[in-house]
Amino acid sequence: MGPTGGIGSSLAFSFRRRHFLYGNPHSAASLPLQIRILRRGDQRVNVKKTGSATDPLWYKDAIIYELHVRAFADSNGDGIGDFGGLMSRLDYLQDLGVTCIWLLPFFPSPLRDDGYDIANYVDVNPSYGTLDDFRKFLDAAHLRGMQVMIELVINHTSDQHPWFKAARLAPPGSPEREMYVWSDTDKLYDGVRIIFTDTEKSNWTWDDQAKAFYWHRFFSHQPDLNFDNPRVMQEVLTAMRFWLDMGVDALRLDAIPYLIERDGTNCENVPETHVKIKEIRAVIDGEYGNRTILAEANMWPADVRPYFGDGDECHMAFHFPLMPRIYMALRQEDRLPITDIMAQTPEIPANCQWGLFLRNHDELTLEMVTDDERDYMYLAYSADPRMRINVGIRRRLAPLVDNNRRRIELLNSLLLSFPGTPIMYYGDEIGMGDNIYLGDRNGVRTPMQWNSDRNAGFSRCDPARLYFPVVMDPIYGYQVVNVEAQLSDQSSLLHWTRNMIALRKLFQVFGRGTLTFLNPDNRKILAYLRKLEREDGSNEIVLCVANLSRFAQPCSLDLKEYEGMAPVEMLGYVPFPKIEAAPYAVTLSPYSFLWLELQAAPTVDASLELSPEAAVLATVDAAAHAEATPLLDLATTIWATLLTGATLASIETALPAYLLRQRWFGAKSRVVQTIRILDWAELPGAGTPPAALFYLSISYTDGETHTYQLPLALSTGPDADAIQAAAPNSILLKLPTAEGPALLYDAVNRKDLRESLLSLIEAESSLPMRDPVTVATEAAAPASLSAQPGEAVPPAAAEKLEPKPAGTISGRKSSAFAGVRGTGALVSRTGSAEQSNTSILYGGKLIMKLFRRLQPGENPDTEIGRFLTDVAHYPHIAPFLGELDMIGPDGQPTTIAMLQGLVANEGDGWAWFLEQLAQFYTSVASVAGPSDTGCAPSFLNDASIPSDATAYAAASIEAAALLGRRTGEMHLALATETTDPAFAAEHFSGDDLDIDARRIDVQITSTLEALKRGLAQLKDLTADAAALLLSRRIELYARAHAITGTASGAAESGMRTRIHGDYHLGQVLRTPDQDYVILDFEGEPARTLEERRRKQSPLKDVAGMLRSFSYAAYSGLDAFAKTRPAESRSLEPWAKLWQNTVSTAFLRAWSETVSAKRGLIPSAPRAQALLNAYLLEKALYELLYELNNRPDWVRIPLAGILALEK
Amino acid sequence: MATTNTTPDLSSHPGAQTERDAGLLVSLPSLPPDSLQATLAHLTEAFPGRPLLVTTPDGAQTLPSGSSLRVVPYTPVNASASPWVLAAADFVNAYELAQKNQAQSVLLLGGETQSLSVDALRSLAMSVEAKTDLTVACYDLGPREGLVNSAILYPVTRALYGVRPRFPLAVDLGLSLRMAEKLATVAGRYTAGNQPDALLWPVAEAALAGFSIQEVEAGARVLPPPAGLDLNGLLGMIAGSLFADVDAKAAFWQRARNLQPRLVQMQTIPPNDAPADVKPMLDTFRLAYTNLHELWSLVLPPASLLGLKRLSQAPPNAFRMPDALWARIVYDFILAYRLRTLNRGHLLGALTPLYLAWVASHLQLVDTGVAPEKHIETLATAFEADKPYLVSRWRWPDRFNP
Amino acid sequence: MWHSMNHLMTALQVDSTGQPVQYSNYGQPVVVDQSWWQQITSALTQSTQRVLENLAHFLPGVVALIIALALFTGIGALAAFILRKVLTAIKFDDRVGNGKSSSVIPNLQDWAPSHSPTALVARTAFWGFVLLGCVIGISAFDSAYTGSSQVALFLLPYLTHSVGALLLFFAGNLIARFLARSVLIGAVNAQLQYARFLSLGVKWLVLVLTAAMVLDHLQIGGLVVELAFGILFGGIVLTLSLAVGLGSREIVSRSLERNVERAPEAVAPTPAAEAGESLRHF
Repeated sequence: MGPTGGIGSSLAFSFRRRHFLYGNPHSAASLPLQIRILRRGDQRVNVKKTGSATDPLWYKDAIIYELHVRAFADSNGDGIGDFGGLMSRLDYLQDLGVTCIWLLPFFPSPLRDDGYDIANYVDVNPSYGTLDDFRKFLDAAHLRGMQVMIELVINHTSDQHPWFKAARLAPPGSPEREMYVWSDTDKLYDGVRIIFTDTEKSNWTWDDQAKAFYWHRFFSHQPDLNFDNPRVMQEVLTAMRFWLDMGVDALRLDAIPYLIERDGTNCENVPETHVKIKEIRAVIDGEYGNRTILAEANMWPADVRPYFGDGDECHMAFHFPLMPRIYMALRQEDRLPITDIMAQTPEIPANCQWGLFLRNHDELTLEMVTDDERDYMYLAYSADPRMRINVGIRRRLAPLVDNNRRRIELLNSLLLSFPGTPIMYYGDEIGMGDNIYLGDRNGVRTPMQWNSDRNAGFSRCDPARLYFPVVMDPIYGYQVVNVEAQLSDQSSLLHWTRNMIALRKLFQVFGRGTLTFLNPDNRKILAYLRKLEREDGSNEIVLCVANLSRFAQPCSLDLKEYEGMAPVEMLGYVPFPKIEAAPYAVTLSPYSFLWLELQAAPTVDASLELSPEAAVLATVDAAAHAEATPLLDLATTIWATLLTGATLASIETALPAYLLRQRWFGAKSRVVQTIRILDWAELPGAGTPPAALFYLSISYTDGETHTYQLPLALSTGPDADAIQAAAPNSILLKLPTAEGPALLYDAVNRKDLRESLLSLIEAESSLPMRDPVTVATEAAAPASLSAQPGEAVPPAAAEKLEPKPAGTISGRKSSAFAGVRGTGALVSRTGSAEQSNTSILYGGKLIMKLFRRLQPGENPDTEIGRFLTDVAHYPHIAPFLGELDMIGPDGQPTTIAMLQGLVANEGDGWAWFLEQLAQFYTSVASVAGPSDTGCAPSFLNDASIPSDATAYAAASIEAAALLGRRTGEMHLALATETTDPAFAAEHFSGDDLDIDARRIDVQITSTLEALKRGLAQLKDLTADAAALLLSRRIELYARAHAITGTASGAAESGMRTRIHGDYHLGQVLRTPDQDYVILDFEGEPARTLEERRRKQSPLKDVAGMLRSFSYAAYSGLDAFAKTRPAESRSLEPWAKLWQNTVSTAFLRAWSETVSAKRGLIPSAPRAQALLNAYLLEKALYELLYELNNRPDWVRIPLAGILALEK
Repeated sequence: MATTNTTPDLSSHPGAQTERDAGLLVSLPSLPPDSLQATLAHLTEAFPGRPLLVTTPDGAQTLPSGSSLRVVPYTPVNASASPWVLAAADFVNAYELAQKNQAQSVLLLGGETQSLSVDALRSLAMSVEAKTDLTVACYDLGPREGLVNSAILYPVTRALYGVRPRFPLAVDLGLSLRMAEKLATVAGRYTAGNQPDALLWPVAEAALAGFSIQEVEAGARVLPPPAGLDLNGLLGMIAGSLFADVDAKAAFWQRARNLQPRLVQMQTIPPNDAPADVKPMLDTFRLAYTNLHELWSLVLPPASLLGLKRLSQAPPNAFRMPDALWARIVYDFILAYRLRTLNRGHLLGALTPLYLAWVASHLQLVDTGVAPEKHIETLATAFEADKPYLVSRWRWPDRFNP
Repeated sequence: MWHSMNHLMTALQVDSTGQPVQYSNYGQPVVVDQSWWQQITSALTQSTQRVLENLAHFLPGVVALIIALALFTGIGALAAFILRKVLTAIKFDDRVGNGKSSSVIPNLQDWAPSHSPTALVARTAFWGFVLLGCVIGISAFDSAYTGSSQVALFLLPYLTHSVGALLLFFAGNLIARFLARSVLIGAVNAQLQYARFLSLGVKWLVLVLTAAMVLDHLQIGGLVVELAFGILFGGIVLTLSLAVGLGSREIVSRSLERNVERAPEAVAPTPAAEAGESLRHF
């Protein structure tokens, strides 16, 4: 009763699926037809008796399962299968997917030819049950949506049939006698071949009672009926009506070519036979609906063709010659036997169908092969002469192919995908074996193997009583091969067969479509197309490829006709590469096969907006989209062609997700609405197409629009592989090309791009820019745009149509360039520390900062770098060497890259101080808390540095003091007297202070809003602090306005100069001589350029650095806590001490240094007020940043704000 | 808007007009007297001067003055006991009425008809008369309404059949005669089996038959409340019907690929300020996670179970069910339904807590300011993206899957 | 050992009487000179007579049993046949198959998925008649044969009982499993915290009940089983009520309250109630 019991029972349930109410899908579709028939019924004189099927062409979609009642299941324990047993197994057949059951003869019979010797046409053999049992079975099968086919053996009867008994006694010429073919001589019809060569010597047998020879094409105990006697036909029709009235859906006409004998012929296929068949068919068509007759005519296809008539004889006929040739093709690993016989197969009327089979109850007949082929087949498939019988091989499917699962699957795949209705022989779905020691063809007629119980679960009787023994050998024995075991094994042949049948039934094309062979050069590959065009205009195309070889095989298929279509592997619904004009290459593993459904290339709806949550899906989408675009030919591709139509759409679709993955993309908390490519500049000589700098306009849902720079390149082959391995995150899109997938990726990963950027500056040259609209109009783009489905064009497309003049990109170098650059080649690489911009390093000498988000106007970094290098000659910065500007059509420059000299350093200040801190915490870990944590840095008090600090953090304090001095010097340099209006120092005005206050206001508002939204994600303690902060909202505003408080405030606020703007420990480098170099005058990246270029109080930089010390103290503590969690808890006071003392040292050194220029810094109280305000602003800014990017760090700025003096 | 001015265009061609009017039949459900009067008034207003055929099971009616409607009372042969949704009996009745009155098209309206605006009536009729086979109404709903539709019905229908109507179970439909016949044929099988309440999926039927489908804006409307059953029973009934329908149409939807464009945008009625109380739903989910885990593990593959485990541990405010996970859950339930992995009643019962988890996640997302409709569209895209999973498992129902 | 025993017995025989044992000692007038052979003959005839008498009593019973059984089997077959025809005619399968009752009463299909409901009903009817025939036959047999052979009387019904017991056992198991799952899912959806316990409880309750019924049916243990079951069942109920009353009163009441509070929300509300907070799933 535990969970295992549950699983077991659920499995049983799962296999017992039934179409209880809905029936199969095709019958649903054809239902109205039936209704119409019924409605008209009352006007008819003769009501047609329709069968259980609703579609008159049901046999075309059928899966026929051939079984012998005797061999299937025994319900009464007499050792012989019966209808009761069969009924108990109908669920099994239904779950297997069988739609039609073909019963071998079950009529009363002496059973000397497996029931084909019938002694009474209108009854059931008592061993199998009664007529009533048959009716019950019929109803049960119909209830399950299965049709039933029975045998109509009209060529001959048993010699025990009352007709024959009467005929023997009746005088010659009497109607009784004339039921059979009699002759006084056995020389009549001389030369007619003998079919059962092993047992019969003549087609005539002498009858003592009748004193005449009687004619028999098969065994001597099976006299042939005389169809020249009209009474015979009447009797046959009576028998046929008997079964059809009962509801039987289909009849198999046995041995049909031999119905009529004519002298001088081979007595096969004589024209009168067709008259007889037409007669039978006319009765069926006239009195019944939706019934089928299947002809057994073991003939060449061309000879079988007449049995279809003009669609007015048999509905179906077996395709006998195909069967041996499939085996031959498999053994020879050559498709020729199959394609050859199919080429000989004539067209058949539209309402007719071939019946296909791999094995049946008879021998694998070799009548329809040449002598050589027969010899080959004997040698190939019947090692033991016992396996041969008559003109054939009496073996089951599995033993024929040496029980190789892959061969069985391959053969079944052919059976299920060839044009015709597949007929499966019972037991082959589980790979049953045979018993060649049984006589005649009985080796393949052993009891069905249901389970591993006694008699294989077939019967409860004494094993000796079975009609034939069950197979018991160690390989195929019922202990190993049985239904129960295979049902519980998900990977069994039974499950495989069931799935394949279900799959075939989903596609009508298999039953109804046309067949076209593809002829790949590799003859071990059999490839063919099945195609069905429906009346409603839709079509189904399936490509089947089978490898007949026992080794893997390549092949390329000519699918030009289907160019642009997308094959989808049918078993697993796996999309395959699209078909192009070039041969379609496929590799197949041994004996494998592929069923590919050719689908029209999907159209993708790109109108959906993408939200961050959808980003992951968008990548999937984009990938699918990429596959949908036509293949690119790289040799001729230029960006202009690439950026039209579908590729452009897929690039623009893929971008949102891509950007979110990039560290330099700063708007992660915003929702991207649209992205479009503004324009681009191709760099000379870097790849085909050359790598190019792209400019993207990104608009967000909040109405903001940003411009980003993204260098892109396209690579295939090994280049692409290298990129895939080295920088997978830089790949934007995979595009299918003739040379395999091409990668579109961030080109900073390319050496040639990096070099051509440097040479642009070195040569001070310029590049033209291009934009999609001009390009599109040049290339008659409206056509290519409108070729896309309407919804695939993003809304931005409309705007793009306004033409606009393109700008240029130009390089400029400073006077210092040549000196630093030197000569010789420089090896370039991208900087590993990806920040909001990307840096490229050249040979340890130069560093180029490639800006990502572009803001119109000159970048402050270049501007200040130039000023400090050329005008102020401040030594402690990286030398400014040159820049790249994008000059818009209006002449307005936008800096896109800056080149600096690389400074020898030991890492940045941040890393250095963290190292110091690590030592500091290690040394104080075992010490009790500091007696005094010092006080926060202030202009107002002159507190001494606590002794604890000097004892443990002397190096840090000293370094901070030096940094303070250098910072001060930088501010003095920035305040250098100059005529340049961009740099001249100014006095504060009231308005300036107001602007500052307002800015802080805005910062407070936006940060607190974000904090409120993000509160949920914070950890408990941090959330408490955040809540506390939120509660102090009013106080914070008050503090921001404190700087505007006094009327004279403005005058006393010192000077405004250009400042660093985003000053923190990460912006200074520690040089080997224990000094500092200051970097990156760009300002805060999130602010507008105008804001960043504003002159401000140097105290703002000081506030930045002080916050940075705070960050360092706490992140150092975090790092320490990770290694030694136990000791870190008590270190909080030490962190405070370190922060306070180091900050104080920095502030003191700084204020001493800047005091050299009078008026630059205001008086102490005023300076303190300003500093507090800036500290608040900075900390709020940090808080916002952390909320958006690193929620784990939120507590540091939060603590900083809460610790600020009130 | 709601004035009774006659459109000159209509009155100037009386001949053409009567011919058309004979074509359209409006089939009303059984309504309380005052609702019926209001509906008739609306119809009069929507089609001024047109002798429109209106059928009602409620007996003879006095018409509003000046009305040109022709009201035909009838006694339904099959009565549906669930007036809140169109059931098999309604389709059979509608087709019979259309045949009897020689109508060319039918406007089949559901309960609470009086709340349907005059504009909606007009646009429905216009679409029907433009020879569209199936016209489906699209309603404006609040963010907390029609959630089963948003979570399961719409995404599944859209992903499988490639059709876009936002309300596969809309209660107001326009049918062409052949569509009505088709639906009546399908419905006939249910009513013959004495199941007049069985649900039909007109959108799927139309897609299967290759008929044209049109969606029209119906504005805000009071949707008739479901009768009787609790959420569990309702979900079981509706999802069960959908799943069975999916099972029956497997051969079709496995080949349907191209998505029809969506012309109508659903308007969301802005939510009120109070955030949704999702706690009870989360509680149900957590409880179910501890109790139904072994049932789920019969149905869901390990990756989904892992996803649920993570969800069950997520803090309430960070509770987000990824769209891909939900899509996969629904697909796996459809598969389990088909394979009868466990008793179908039990199966659908086990889906309820998962559905509630999705609702909770959706509402929380909406509360953060994401437009609900946007999320539903994203969700539908997720269903589409994951359709190959459903198809491949349908075709190869191996338990060894992700 | 055996030897000594023999000796002992011989000794006792001699000791108790002191002389050879005589039949006359037993007070019955015995014709001493009657011959031996006659005695045997009479004994044989008497016993034969007795057996024949018994048989004469017994046979009508057996015949009655057989006739009753055959008759009712025939009637059963007929009834099943008629039922099947009628049910097929009225499309019983379709009606049951997907009726509206499916959510309330579990589908018939779910119980016996491999048989159509018609077949199930017909078969039930058939076996019902057979059983009836059996019962009637046995009671006829019972009344006809009131002989003293308790074994035969005991054995026959016992056989039928064990068949019934087996059926009971399987049915009980099936019901227990089905109910356990139904209760589990139902309880979870009703947000009862103790869903699993409830489900387990129901399962074991049904199992215990089944076991008791089986034992009772087999007439094993007699009153003890009933008593034991009564005690067990009473114990369970008492424990539960105690638990509700004392220990888990809080939990139960809380979960009940929550259930009551949630009720208007879980069920899709009427349009009137739709004003503010509520959710509409449909």
